[in-house]
Amino acid sequence: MVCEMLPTLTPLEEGKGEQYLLEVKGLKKYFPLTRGFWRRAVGYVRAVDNVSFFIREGETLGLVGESGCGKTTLGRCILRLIEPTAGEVWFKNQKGERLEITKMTPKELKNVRKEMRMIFQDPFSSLNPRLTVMEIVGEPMEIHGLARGKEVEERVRVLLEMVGLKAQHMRRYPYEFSGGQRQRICIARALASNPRFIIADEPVSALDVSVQAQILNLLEDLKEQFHLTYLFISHDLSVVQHVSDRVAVMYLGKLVEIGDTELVYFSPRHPYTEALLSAIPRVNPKSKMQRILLKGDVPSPLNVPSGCAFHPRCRYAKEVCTREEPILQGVGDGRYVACHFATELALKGVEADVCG
Amino acid sequence: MIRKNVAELERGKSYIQLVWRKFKKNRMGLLGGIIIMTLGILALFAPFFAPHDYYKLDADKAYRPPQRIRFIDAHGNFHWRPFVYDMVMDIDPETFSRIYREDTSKLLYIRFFVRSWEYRVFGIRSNLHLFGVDEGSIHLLGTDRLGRDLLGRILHGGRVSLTIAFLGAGITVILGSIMGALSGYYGGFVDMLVQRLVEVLQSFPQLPLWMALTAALPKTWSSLQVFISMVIIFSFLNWPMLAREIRGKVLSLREQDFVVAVREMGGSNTRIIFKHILPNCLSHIIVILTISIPELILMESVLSFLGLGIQPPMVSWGVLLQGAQRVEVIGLYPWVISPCAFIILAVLGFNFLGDGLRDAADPYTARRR
Amino acid sequence: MFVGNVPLVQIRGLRTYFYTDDGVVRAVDGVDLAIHPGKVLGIIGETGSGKTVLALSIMRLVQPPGRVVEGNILYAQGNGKQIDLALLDPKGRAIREIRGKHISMIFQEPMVSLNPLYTIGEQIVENILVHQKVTPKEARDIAIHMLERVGIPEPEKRIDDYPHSLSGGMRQRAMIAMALVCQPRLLIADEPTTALDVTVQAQILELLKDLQRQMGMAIMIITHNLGVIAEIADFVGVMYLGKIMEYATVVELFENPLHPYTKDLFRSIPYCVRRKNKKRLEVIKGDIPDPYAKVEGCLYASRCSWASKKCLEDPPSIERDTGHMVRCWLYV
Repeated sequence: MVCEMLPTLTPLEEGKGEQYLLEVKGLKKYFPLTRGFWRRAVGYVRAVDNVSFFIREGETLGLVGESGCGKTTLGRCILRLIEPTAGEVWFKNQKGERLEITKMTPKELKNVRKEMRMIFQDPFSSLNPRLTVMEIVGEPMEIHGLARGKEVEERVRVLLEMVGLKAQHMRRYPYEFSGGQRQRICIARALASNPRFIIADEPVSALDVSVQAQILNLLEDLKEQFHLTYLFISHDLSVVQHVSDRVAVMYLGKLVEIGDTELVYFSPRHPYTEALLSAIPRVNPKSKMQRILLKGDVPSPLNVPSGCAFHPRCRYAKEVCTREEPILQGVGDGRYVACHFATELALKGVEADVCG
Repeated sequence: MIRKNVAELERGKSYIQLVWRKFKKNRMGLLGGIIIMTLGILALFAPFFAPHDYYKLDADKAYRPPQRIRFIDAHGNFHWRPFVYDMVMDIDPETFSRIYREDTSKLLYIRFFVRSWEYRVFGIRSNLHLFGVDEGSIHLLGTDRLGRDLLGRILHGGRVSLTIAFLGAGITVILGSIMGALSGYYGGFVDMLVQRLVEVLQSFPQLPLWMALTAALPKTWSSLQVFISMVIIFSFLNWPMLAREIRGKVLSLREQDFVVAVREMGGSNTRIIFKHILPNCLSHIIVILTISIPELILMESVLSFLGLGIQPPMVSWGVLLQGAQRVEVIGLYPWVISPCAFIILAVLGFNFLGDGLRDAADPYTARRR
Repeated sequence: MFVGNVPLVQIRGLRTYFYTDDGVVRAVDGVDLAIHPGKVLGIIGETGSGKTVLALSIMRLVQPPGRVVEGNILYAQGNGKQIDLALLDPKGRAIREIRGKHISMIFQEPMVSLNPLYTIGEQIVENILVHQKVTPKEARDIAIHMLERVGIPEPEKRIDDYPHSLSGGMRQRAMIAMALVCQPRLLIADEPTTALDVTVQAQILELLKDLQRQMGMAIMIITHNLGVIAEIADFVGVMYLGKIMEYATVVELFENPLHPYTKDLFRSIPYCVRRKNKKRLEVIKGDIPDPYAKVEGCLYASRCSWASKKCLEDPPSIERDTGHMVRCWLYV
């Protein structure tokens, strides 16, 4: 069991680490499944299994995958909201120092949390109902001692106006706002500590279609204005396509494909990516493109299939896929794919213009 | 410009305002609040409301029945000013027991804001009283075995009974919510420890334990020491219930995104527990408070009634009921159980108040379906 | 539209209001719609548009303080007679006879409507026994057959599973099996795929299309997802704050949307495009109005970029081309 826990690093552009804002190496999170009085571990849920990737400064990395694939756990492990089982997370701070987050002391961690913030999916549960907007947005400043007294109010006012809320509403409670406005409050709260990196965990999934665009545009504007870097987690493929420069596709705790958005969407190299893209409903009733229907459901992360985790549902699977686990490998053009036949298969991408 | 000024004025409502807006819609809650406020004021300013010094013994007035406030005298004449008849004592020729009868020849007009015996409240000396009579005496609830004014003693006893309840409940809440929050928030070993402790404390039969503990207090202790020890004993035996309740709530709150968000922004555990988790448990705390305050009032009376709690000369409702321990006494002088009415009133009042507060404590719900 | 063809359900001037302490919510406020036999009607709407209440009104499942205040829901019973569901007692026998047998419904979260204490088999069998005269043994066979038809592998085994032991997609399939087991003439699907992943959503949509083709029932599908509508619907109604803003065939609506709300909606969603064609998303300004606020005139006027003085009055429903209805002053 112990051997299994050791991280097996996949070298990703070795030696180039200096230019990345964030670099994740062999990150793992295994949740033990316990039974009985003595809480003996009877198995592990491999929520995040040996994930490595990097994010360049100023870019948006989209992370897509279906529910239960571990994308939220991955996001939280990076911020150490969940303690990772193994692996490294390197973050380049404001002064240009590269810091390893998983080994930080609580004090160091608090310092770096100023710069790495998070936006949550559900704007209803992520705001404390008992605090006013002013208290909510001012809290990070208070924690990090960034402003005092009247100054806090002034900064909250500026932040609220920046995210498109009326500053005079700052003494209201969250329940007086709609879902979209609440998400704006969450964004203002994230910006309050002058972050450089934001993990947006499904920031628009709980919002109405007509409000979604407002938030997506806002995130885009703020990125320009504050030179932010995003890790954008979502299950909505067209939203991810819209916001990201590069995309990572996750399946059962592992990355299966990562690369430039354009390449991944229009010429995918992993069969799972292909199936995922083909499943996007088309906003065109006349489109008659054949859809790839995956067999069955996503397997339980408790017993991941042998070899390539995707092989039972893959229509290209060969014998080797049941035995050997493919590793995430570069296939040129800055793309990494975990498939034995990544370079051989001719896979279909998404149809331009018609997906929603 | 004008619009901007108007908008700038928006203050937002404070928590208290929001709670009050919701609370005042609940009639029973309001009634409970009024009862408790009244009892509180009566107890605090007991000497002001008491026409006679209730520590003064007067064997001549033992077991005097309550005097009725009247407007119409024995001759059928109406008086604008309320009055009572003076009492005269006779000896029953057969049983040789004392009997009192109203002396209809002597009208004692009730005067308001009279000056008589001197007392101190909050260090202020005064001899002003709400009401009194010029001569003779007025005992609206009668007197006890030693001829002391029962009304004054009940009001004064309310001080001790209510203070025990409030202090006890206060310590209970502090202990219970901190233990519960720690146990729920940290989980693991802390949780195990607290939960086992709770189980042990809860598995004792409560009444005998309380009796044993209070009986174990040294007899030589002053009544103040006994009083403080009782408060501590009460709250130590009472917090497990609250701790359980809070723990459950904390377990669910801990996973809420807004708590994760505070950790995400670098907030300490202390901040999370005291600023984010416990305030959201307020309605649970209030529920427990409303259960435990009346319980403490009752328990104090029970123990003091049995002679195990508050010791005379300190007076509490329970101590006063000691005077009504024998059936013969109650049969002959039924007014000695009047402290019971105050106990019932206080218990009901707290229950009503708690019901109303619990519903109002979470005013942050949108009016959406 | 469909002249001479009697619609399966004809809704006229339906109003369902909720009388709450804080005011009246006009959840469904004057809806006219027709559901045709063997066709799929899609309803698009956002939060608070009243689309779910509309569905519940047809089923007569609206809970107090809500109630159907006005309008007709004419259901063609198949024997040439029409029955007005809006007049039936919501707890009466007549509506219970129709519910489940003639019209059945599936919900967004299957866990809510499946009882966790019974196996899916028991629940389906019970449904069969209520509406059909068969023995329990036959009912079980029907149930197994139905589970097989909705694509549940090993139905003989799965029938004895409890709902929680199935995955989200399988649960939704079980729900569909339960809804279709009595061969209803109308299936109302309220956000049937919203809780599911894209790949599973694709499977379920495909399944619904197949079953509809085989069994010839009508479907009313309610969703906020334009893609789902485009995939499955024949006719579409766009709902906003309790009113149908636009109604057309699916091809017509997607190629020639008329109502500003529909147009804005199409423009504000992100499409997959090549990077060189990427544009900033167009935004619908403001928020969906508070359902308690009484809005005079056109409900969308406050967010509409074409709004004019005229919009202070309630626009009439205009028939533009054949069967393309729009509720907007621009087309009067």
